[in-house]
Amino acid sequence: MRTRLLFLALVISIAITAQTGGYPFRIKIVNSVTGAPIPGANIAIDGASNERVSGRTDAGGLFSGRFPSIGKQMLTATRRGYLMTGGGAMGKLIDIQAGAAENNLTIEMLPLGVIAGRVLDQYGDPVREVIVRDLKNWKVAGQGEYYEGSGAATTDDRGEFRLADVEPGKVYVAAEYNDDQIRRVTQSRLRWPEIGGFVLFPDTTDIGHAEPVEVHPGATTRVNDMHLHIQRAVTVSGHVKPLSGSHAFVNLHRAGVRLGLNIFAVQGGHVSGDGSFNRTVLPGRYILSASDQNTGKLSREVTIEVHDKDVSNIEIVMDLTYEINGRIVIDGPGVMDFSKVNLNFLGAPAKLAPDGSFHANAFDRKVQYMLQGIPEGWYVKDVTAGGRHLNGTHFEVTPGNNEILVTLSPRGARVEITLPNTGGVLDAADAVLLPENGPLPDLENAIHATPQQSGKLIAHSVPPGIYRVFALDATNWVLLFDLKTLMEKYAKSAPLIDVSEGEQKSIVVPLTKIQPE
Amino acid sequence: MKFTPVIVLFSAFSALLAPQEPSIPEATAALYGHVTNAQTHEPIRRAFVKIYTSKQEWDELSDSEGVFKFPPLKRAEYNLAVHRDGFTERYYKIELSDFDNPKELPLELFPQGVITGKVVDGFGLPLRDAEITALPTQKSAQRNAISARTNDLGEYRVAGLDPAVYQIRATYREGREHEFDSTPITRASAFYGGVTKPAELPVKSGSTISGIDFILNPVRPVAVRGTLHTETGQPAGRITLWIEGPAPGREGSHDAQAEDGKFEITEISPGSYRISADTYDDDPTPMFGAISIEVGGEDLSGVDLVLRPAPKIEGQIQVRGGDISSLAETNIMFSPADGTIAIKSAKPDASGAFQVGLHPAEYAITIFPLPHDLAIEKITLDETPVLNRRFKVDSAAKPKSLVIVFAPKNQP
Repeated sequence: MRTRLLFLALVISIAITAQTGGYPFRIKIVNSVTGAPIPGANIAIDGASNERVSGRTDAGGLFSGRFPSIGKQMLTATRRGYLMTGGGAMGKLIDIQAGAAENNLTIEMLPLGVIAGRVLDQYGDPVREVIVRDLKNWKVAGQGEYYEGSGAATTDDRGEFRLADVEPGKVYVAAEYNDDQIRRVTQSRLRWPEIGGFVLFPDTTDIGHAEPVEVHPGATTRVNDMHLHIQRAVTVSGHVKPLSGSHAFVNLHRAGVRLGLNIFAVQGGHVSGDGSFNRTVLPGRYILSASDQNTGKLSREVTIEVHDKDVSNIEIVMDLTYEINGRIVIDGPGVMDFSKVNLNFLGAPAKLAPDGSFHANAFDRKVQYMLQGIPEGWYVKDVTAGGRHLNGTHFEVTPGNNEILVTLSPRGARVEITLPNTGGVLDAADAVLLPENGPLPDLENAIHATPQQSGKLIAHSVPPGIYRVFALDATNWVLLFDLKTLMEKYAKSAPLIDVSEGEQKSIVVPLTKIQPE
Repeated sequence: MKFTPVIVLFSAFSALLAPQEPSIPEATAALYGHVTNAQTHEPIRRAFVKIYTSKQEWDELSDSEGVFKFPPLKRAEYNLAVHRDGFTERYYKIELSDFDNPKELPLELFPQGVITGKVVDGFGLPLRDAEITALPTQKSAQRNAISARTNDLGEYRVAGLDPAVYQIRATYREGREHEFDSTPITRASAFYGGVTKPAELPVKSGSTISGIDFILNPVRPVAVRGTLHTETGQPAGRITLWIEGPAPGREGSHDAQAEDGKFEITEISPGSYRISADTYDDDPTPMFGAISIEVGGEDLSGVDLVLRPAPKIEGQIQVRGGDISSLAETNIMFSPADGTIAIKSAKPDASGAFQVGLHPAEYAITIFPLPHDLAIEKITLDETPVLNRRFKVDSAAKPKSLVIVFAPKNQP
């Protein structure tokens, strides 16, 4: 009897759906701090079969309609000044159900913060068209420490700025200026010298002395006036030796920790045909270097102090080579066709001989190897540089010859992952195996288990070791771009597995629970 | 020194000026002075003052008192210019007499104007990142358009406006800001005072015009679909389309293509548009058509565009006393005077002959690249001289004969 009633309910539901063209839903968007409805938010619901319903919330923060299919769908809500909460980085999975009078959902959005202030010059006069950014500290393997931001604002004629959409927390504030934009708009008939400056809150150019600003949700944090010391830009010029046409590339960047500044801070470009170069910078300390990909030669880094006068006649000598010579060997009975293997040292491709020996010229002392095209089931068992075992893919080379030995093994493990209660393709986007010990790989070198037709996820060529297994759905897969956060914040919810060489392992892994931010 | 502002047409020589040279000509006087606000008489700090000739230039920045001082300069006539953000650039002449009894040069700058306002959406909520552009009207055509963006409060300040008459346009776009952004695109645009007759705001030196507010209702861009056929009902083949946005900003104008008598033009915001259609330049029987449409908030289908034979121009290039081989790479461009239809081009064959089909309209002729040793001597249309390179095309079916005659440039 119960089965018959359920069947009847299903028939009625399908009939209603057929008459009205979809399954009704009603979404309310509210401010997660005040609970107030948010009008004008953009809503998009995407289904697994490319169905899409989109629109904007009304004055009461409501968006209603009908979705063509039932099941799990991805909902994204966006509005300037807010960030959707309660979902993953890419959106929130919602379950559109049949038979419901209406699928009622309430989605919260976090109001972002605003940093407001004023930028003055050394005389206390307001400066227009200053770019103000928020900066956060990042530490990434192979890239070191740097400060980068997500937003920018420009000052008006009163020097006032409002940097909006800042996520709550502590950020540094940078203001940088050159008059290029103003000169471009005014289209002066004459060519004027460039001027510019930059300052970190509060009134320092040294990130070590900068103070972070606390940003609160939905609030405006007013900071004290920032003072730019606007100076004339000067030129740094010289020439590169030996002369090799215009192939040589000269790189100039501010000394010290890398800041997410765009103007004057980092400049690169090829030399002129006569080997000369010319860059415009603000006074400060800079690092200059040159490299030539054709010859594989590069220079030592030259540190220059730039004051208020042009610096000329700098000679950069490209007399270094970071030669990499090595060999790929196979551990065990396998045979490898090296013509299908690509070995690359951060942009410097290696020439591989049929016997696995190779040669490359690195363009920097900091190198990362990338190995592609090895057969399924094989893995990199060991890499030594100058006889020392590498832990990860990054290493440093010294001028002259550098011996590298890569050992491959055909006995990589196979890990098959089953996700319990899968509800559709939106569930399982990717699984990643991260080593429990040792350095984290980058995205490209991490071990991924990709979805199969069967609904399972399979990772091939897994080196022996102990791993945390993270299963990410469509709402969270963007976290693959931030493996460090994944490991630091969610390791406890990822099962630990011990993989032996050549093992065929099957495991059940729940979707990694990502806390809404 | 002349204190009257110098209004001269500076040629491109300024771009060729040599960089500031450390070697200074024979010194006879060190020119100095101060820069002040012409209205408040307060000193202007951080103003650039440039003294220049056609070959050399010297730049100095005014200090905390608005004072500047140049190194000693040779007694000669110079140009002088003053430049500071927030003020209208100004030019002076330095005469020989200024060296006879050197005294402080008083330079005055006039502050630029500002237009301020607020942009909200249909809910009355502030719209952030709307772009507000002050467009100089035709009577102020020598000025530049200047833009600003609204902040999170929807407020904007368009600064740096030289005295002129401006129309104010607001545009807004939201959605799909990066590859993974699935937010639908919505757009809105408006002119202050209305798109049909935008208000004209006279901006004076140092003035602030406030309260130039907008209400924008961003909507999803729509598609316009329709058919193309000849007067006899034959479907058209390959056709280029140009959709012209609402005047005067012509926001959203872009091109499109049509095949087999059907077209679809996407990314259109609500407003009044004109669609013009043309056969490709290499079509031996050129056709044209045009239609005005009103686009609302939904896709517009069933637009019927009729193509008619285009007035044909049969052209000929001639070189007096020479051969035309040096004109092998030359293009002849026909730009409609009102800008509402697409630019057409033609390329002469080896004999200098060319053909092009045009809409009935007024056109300007541009020829490029021009060989360095040739100049245009005359242009005639049906043997009538074409003055200022502009001519009108009527809808008459008979082809018109356009002759462009080049002659060697006079050698110095």
